[in-house]
Amino acid sequence: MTAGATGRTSSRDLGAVAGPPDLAALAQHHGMRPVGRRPGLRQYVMQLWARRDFIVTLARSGIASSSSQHRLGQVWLVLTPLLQAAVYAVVFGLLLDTSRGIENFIGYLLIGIFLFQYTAKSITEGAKSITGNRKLVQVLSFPRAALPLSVTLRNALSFGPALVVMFVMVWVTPEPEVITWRYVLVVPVVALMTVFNLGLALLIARAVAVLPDVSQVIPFALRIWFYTSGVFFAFDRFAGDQPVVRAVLEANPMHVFLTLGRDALLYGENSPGAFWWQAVAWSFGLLLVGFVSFWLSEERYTRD
Amino acid sequence: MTDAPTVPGPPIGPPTVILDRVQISFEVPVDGGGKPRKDKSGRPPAKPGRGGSTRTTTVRAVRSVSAVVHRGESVGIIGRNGSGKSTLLRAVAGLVPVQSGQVWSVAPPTLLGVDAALLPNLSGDRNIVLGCLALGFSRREIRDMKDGIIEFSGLGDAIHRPMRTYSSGMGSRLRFAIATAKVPEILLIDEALNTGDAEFKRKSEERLNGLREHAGTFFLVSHTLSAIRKTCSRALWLDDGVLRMDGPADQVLDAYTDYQEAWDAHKKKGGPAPGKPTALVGLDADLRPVPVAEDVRV
Repeated sequence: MTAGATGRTSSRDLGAVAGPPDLAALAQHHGMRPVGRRPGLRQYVMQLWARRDFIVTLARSGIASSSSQHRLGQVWLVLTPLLQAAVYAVVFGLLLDTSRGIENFIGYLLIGIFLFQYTAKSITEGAKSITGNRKLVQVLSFPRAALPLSVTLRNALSFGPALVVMFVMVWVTPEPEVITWRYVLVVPVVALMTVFNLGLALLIARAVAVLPDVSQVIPFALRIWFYTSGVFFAFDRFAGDQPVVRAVLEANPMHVFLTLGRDALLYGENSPGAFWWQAVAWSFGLLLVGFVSFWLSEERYTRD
Repeated sequence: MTDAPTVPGPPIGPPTVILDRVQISFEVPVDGGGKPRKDKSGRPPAKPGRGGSTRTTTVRAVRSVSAVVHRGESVGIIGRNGSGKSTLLRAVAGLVPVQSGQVWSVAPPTLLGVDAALLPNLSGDRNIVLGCLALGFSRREIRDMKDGIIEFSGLGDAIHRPMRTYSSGMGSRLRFAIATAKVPEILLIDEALNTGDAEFKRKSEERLNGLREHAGTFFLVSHTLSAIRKTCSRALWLDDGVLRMDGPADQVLDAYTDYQEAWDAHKKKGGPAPGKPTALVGLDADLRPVPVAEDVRV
């Protein structure tokens, strides 16, 4: 610290002359607020609510912006999952024959892939929501959770057309599924998944912002999750007689969501109540954990 | 929004921003050769840091800066490249976390700039809404502001075209129009935005002056000393993160130029390096800068 002027007062060396100026007291006396400090959790939620128009517009603009880059525009929202389903149908249905023992394999696979992709996209895009918006974060001050929130919303909005395709595809597949009132149950399933995705997006956005290396691991983690979630095979085939393996596989929240979705859309069956409770617990538990941990690191996201 | 009189040098009111021993440092990675990678400040490392596989060094960008700024003051921040000016400004905006100390303010300080929020694939029209929302305005406010923004930008029908099809001048006109559409209570500007043709330059200068007069408090970081002399009533001189001088803009700028000249002469001819001025312009009992009679220059 360089010495201040001898004998002259300044904001820095005033202390030497007249006792340290209590600037904090002065600030409080004038009703000033600390800048750049993380607000309380309640206040943070209120700030986010105040920014809801921004969050929604950012999500919508993102869709409009990315689809304007392609000749087919928003058709890709539908085309991409369709192509994926076709690839997996060939690979797993025809070549590897994992379809054994599964009723209406095409429908089973379609629901698995569409729903899994919904969450996977929220993860990969949520991971970039802070680091990919560095400039935005460095110039404008707003609660940073707005970014993962907006990404999740953007995915939810673009999942709409994919969901319609899923309905149609399941309906036109050669083996007719059972159409019951349970079709409407797909609404709470997707809603719970959206909550779940938001929790994941918040958790991962925070992790990547704090430790960028995490983003390198995400593709592998997603792969493993994909293979262990029963997207293209039934657990009975591999773990039918191993109760421990089976229990582990079935604790997977993605398996829970997929089962709920298939029961509602494909088999017209009531899912066991425990599955619904698990889905609710996973969604809101993860949202709570994700949101609080994101909020706790709020001050770290601007660090370059 | 205060209704400050539009005459030069509005009366100074109560404090609006207080910097209380603000200290900011960054951990930056270091290459094998021991030289720091190009960081924001471009300054050599202060001390080697400890770390795992990557070596890092701590850059002390801002060192214990204190100041009390009042309503009606316009504060220029000057200093060499890497002296911590921009970092300090961003700390005032709450965009850079302070290591110790605290920035206080009566209202959220707003950094002028909206570029990052805009999407090149969207029309200028939609970008106005997006940009204004990013700045924190409500839909209702935006409805009222929109026509004014379009008019000021002078884009006419081009406003319905995607922004990526704009010339760079058109783009910056729109960005400027959005960023300056409304006067925040505490306005922060990092370097003047000067793009576009002469006509727009004049318009934007006018608007900046209007902003400055109507903002309760105004901070400007700039290398252009004349801009600071013209627009600021007070100046902070930062050197290597240390506040060298704080006082009426004229005095601080004179001292700064004198020091720079002495330094240049020293570089050219050798001889003793000029001592850094350690004098700060005095502050009165309310911590307002007051001119001091003695010569505070080098």
